[in-house]
Amino acid sequence: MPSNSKLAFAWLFITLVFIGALGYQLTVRSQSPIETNILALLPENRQDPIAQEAFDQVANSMSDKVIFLIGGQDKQVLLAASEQLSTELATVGLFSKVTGRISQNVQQAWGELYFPKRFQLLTSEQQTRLQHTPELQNQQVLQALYNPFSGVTGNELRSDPFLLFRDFLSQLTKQSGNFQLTDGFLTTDYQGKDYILITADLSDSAYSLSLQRQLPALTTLENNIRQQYNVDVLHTGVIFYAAHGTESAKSEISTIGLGSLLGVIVLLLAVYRSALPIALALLSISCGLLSAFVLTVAIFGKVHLFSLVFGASLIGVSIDYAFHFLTDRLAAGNKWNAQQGLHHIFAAITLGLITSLIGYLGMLIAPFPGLQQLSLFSAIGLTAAYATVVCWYPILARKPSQQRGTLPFMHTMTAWLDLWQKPIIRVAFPSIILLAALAGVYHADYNDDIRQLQALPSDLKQQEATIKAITGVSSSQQMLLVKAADEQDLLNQLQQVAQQLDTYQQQGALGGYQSISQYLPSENTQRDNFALVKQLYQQQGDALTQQLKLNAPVAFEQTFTPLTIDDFLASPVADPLRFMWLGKLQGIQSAIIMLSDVHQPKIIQQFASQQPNISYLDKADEISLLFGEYRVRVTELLIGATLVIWALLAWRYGMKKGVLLILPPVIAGCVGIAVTTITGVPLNLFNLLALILILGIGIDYTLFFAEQDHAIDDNAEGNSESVSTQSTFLAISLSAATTLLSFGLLALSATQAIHSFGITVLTGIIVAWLLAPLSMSVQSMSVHDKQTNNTRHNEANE
Amino acid sequence: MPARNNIASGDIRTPRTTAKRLLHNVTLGLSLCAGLISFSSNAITLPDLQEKLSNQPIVRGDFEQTRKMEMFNAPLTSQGQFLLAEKQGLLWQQTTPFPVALVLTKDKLSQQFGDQDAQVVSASENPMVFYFSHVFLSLFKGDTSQLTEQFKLALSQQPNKEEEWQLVLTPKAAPLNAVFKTITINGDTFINHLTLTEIRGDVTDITFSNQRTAPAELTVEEQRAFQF
Repeated sequence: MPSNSKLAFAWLFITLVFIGALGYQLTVRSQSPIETNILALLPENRQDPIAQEAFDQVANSMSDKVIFLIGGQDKQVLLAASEQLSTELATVGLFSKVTGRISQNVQQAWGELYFPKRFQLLTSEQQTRLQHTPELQNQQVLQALYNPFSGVTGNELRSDPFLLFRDFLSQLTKQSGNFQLTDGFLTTDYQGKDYILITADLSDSAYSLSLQRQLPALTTLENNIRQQYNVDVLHTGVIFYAAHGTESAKSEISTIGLGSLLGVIVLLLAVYRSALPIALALLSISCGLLSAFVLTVAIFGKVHLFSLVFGASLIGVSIDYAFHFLTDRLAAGNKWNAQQGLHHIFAAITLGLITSLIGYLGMLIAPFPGLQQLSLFSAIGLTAAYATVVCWYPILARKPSQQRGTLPFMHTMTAWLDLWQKPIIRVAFPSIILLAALAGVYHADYNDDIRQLQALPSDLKQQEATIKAITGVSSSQQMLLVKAADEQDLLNQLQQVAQQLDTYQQQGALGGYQSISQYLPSENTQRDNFALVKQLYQQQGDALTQQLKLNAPVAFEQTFTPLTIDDFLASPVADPLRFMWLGKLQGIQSAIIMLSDVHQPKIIQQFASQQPNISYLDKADEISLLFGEYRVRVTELLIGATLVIWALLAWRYGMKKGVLLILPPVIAGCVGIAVTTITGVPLNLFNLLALILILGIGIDYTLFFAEQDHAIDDNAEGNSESVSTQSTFLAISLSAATTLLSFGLLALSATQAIHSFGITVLTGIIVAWLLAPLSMSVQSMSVHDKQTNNTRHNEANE
Repeated sequence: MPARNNIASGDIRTPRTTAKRLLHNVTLGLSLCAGLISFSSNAITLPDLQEKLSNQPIVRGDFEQTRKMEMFNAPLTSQGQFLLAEKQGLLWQQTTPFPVALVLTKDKLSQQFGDQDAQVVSASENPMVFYFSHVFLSLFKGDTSQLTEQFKLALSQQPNKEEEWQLVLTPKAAPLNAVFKTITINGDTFINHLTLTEIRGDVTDITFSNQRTAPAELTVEEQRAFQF
């Protein structure tokens, strides 16, 4: 291989470049290199970019909103508390807009938008009445006038003699939930208490770390109000969940990172009892993490927090190559030659790296940006650690280690390895494990539902549920995407779909829906309404004049001017609704209808599939389907990877040996699955991806034994130092121990996905390590015996 | 009080004590007189009125409603009977010019015209519509504590007719202040008049008569009317 000093300088240069890049990424760049938005982990809908746009719009519009509910018994106290809260919220720095008391402008906005067009706006009930029994409208007017509770004033009667507008307005407000206005505030009551609603818009994304850092100030504010006025303050919003996710990810990164690091240091101290190995190990780990972070940010633009949690586990895995080198050095004692040492293990660690890379890079197949980041992060990290060992260790570890009589744990290891001599053990032990594992695999159960992967803090969920019960506003995740050629066509389409949805609502398949057509009739409908109203005045005007004894006859002198979508979108009335109008995308006008409380999604899906311009969107379902699809693909990939690795091994070691080498990781994989079945947790895609890792990492253990045999065979004629079996086994055990520690810590994660991953890899690696000696040939044992005898003989002589 | 103490402790009355006592007695007497005077000129306060009216859990009577509007050549009038129950709500049975039965409770309103089916609106479905009904019910009941939220109240009495009182309500804020100029309630033992004056001059006048508090219980039919 090339001169070591050249390699070392090359790697040094590359590392310095990375350090520089890191500095740049952390400081000079305006955006933080860390991504916290969980949606960024999900794949985009490439088949329908408009659907993706729809999803993004909805997600953005919802994620920037925060809702506060203040509850109490005394309305006056409540009003005072709400006033103070809305004033203080405006100054806390989190929000660009706080809506507490609704300004007169906005209150009047409804009237200003719709009143001038009142002769074009009718409810469907009114349309039917005016078409078939217009005289009933007169009756309505009379009854309203004589009813003392109706609130009909002279003013209203003057401008709308047939009192049509009030029914239309009342239908509109009916859709707005449970609220009424008290002193400008939106109020409602629930279970004997009054509640006031305050909404606020965030000044930045809910996932912005700088914004999340200001949340404690908000908590202090809320507590003050609670104490001062003795009222309840509830809140909900994406930012709280996001902040929780960030905190939990950060704490997990520290736990896993620190835990792994401490574990590695403790192990190193226990085994090597010297400072140099620790320093070298830390160097390898740091280079690995540095390269992984810098390159992933360079390629993806940002690194997701989720990937970093996982990447922290890299500490335990990337240390493997260092262990082999250092153990070799320990075993050689004062006969240590750094270059020779590297030479001994080079083939093994290179093959090990290749097989691990096959494992990690295999995850690139899934189109989930989150998983792709993860796999690249880990692959780069491993390669960098490998490069550090190959390029720098021979130079830095030239000095031999202190002579130790025997390797630590020598007796235990010898006893264990001797056990594997016995053919019964060699056959029975793996077989028993395999059979038990297969039984478990047979009972394996799958659950692809993405929702079970999200760990939501119960306190926040409780508040959200309470707010939902009080306000009657439910978060909808399902929607219908409607497309059309132009704006009016779209409005007509929306109206038709609304009619169908009304039927579904009556049937109980759907709880409710929100659509722009409920707030803005299409121009055609407005024209029809106008004609109906004109007809009403012509046919019934005289009768009404007589019935009310009016001193001037009712007359109809209006002209038709349509209420356009632009008028609507520009009015404050449209503030909570604007996001549903997507406008022109790729030459098509589209809009969303939000569905809530979908009880029978299949019916609605069927309806949507029958119309070419309507699609049913449910992001969670979409992803769950994708999960299921990829579960199948990953299984195929797993089989493929196993075969590829087996072929590689067979080429180097021969067919029979190849089988023995591949068997432990395969059995380990089965055990990994069986364990989840035993614990009753259904499998998901992440468990399967973990199997790829078990294959990639577990193969290292068997590989090192095989390579050691290979070296012994080669050295049987040669005169260089042989690598003892125990030394290999020590290195393997150390690698397994740190890998177990890292993945064991991953298994403690609150995020179900990471947890499943961790548990599966944990159990798999344990089994792979247990069964690793299977790949030792019996012949090598006899050679090993000779060497052991030689060593003891030598010791006895010294 | 000092007087009592002096007696109890058996102190010798000094000239200073006597002067004190005299001054005190005069002050006491004066304040009593003032109290009497003020009592007679402003005998009733809002809480008093509230209590008085709420002491009548069931009131039945007749009504006559007149609506005068600028647009109308002649006012619209209607007559009928009403039942105001503290706990349940209001029954409004119009007999002329056409039969209407209205039932208003805290959270529901039912309207039945002639023999047609009753139409029910609930407050939870449409709180905005209920807004005015709630105000109206408070007016009917004389529930001044509720009314202070939306109105400025001015209570006064006739100087020589202590029993009669007048409550003038001026709306404080939107939406009421855009519609009504004042609302005036007149009454003695019961509410006798309710006058709603709109800003433009249109007036709705309701006169109550023949009010009685017996029977103190709702009849079976009345109870049924409130359950819908």
